[in-house]
Amino acid sequence: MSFNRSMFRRGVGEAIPIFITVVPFALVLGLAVVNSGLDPLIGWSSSPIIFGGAAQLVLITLLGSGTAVAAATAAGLVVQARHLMYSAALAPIFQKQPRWFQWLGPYSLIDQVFAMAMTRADEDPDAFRAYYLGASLVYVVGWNATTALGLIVGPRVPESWQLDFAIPLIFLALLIAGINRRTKVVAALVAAAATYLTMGLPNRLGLMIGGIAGVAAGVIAQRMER
Amino acid sequence: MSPAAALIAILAVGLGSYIMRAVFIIALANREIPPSVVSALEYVAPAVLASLVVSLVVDAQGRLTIGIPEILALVAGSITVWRSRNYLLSTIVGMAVLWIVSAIA
Repeated sequence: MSFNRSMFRRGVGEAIPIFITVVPFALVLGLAVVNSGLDPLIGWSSSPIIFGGAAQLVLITLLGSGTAVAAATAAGLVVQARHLMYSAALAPIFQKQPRWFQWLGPYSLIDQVFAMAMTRADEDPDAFRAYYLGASLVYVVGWNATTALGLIVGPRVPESWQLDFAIPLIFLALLIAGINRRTKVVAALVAAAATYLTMGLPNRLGLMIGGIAGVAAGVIAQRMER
Repeated sequence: MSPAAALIAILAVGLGSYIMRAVFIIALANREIPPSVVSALEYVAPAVLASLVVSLVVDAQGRLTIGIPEILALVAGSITVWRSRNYLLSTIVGMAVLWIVSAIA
């Protein structure tokens, strides 16, 4: 087992520009912690403990508005449910990895790391691991630092800058960059339509329904193609 | 909300998040995964990312929460990333279009 330094650097290098687009979200989260009235340190501790912006935002907002702990926790967990699909999608790749990495890797398995990792699915195991660790390091260090900064800076950024719009921009960019066959377009379109139709459901359940519908559509499209 | 109650909720969501991220990676570590399942899992990324985008621009009533400047920004960012594969550039282009069109409109 060797450490592939050049792939580690590549993971860091490719993660930094994507991380920059997450900074506005970190500032928004800082603002949410301040507005929630929770102890700022406890609010911030959700960054290292949960390490997932959307779930943190939902949980902090609900706790701040006086929602019962059990209900807020359940809502936060439902928002995270899409990670089950990420875990399944990466399982075949992680089979070739050492045990310690199978336990460590999932900690930093956020949307962006998942999308980046899937683009490197065909690398050899050492190269994949170095790339994943490099990318993860950027997000773990960066997210914890910028959400702390967000406690101070978040309340001062003018709303008219619309910095949080960088989030849909980057998700759409990750989607488009990952499309390498027509059947993935079908999966994306069906997922988008299914989510649109189920947006009225609570706790972002529409995300899960969209994800499942999209995967099913991709599989069917692939069968019809043959 | 007492600090202890908030911390318990954060710890619970943190633990749950780790379990959801790890469960298949660890449970399937030494098992054979059928090729048909592996090929289906390739669609997780495009499906979930598309769902995430929709969830950020549509409200619970199914109405668009963004206007023309945002739509043009998404289109500009999409074209940029398609051509350049450069995420930072596409985000800069998208945000620039958003600010410029908002200022004009």
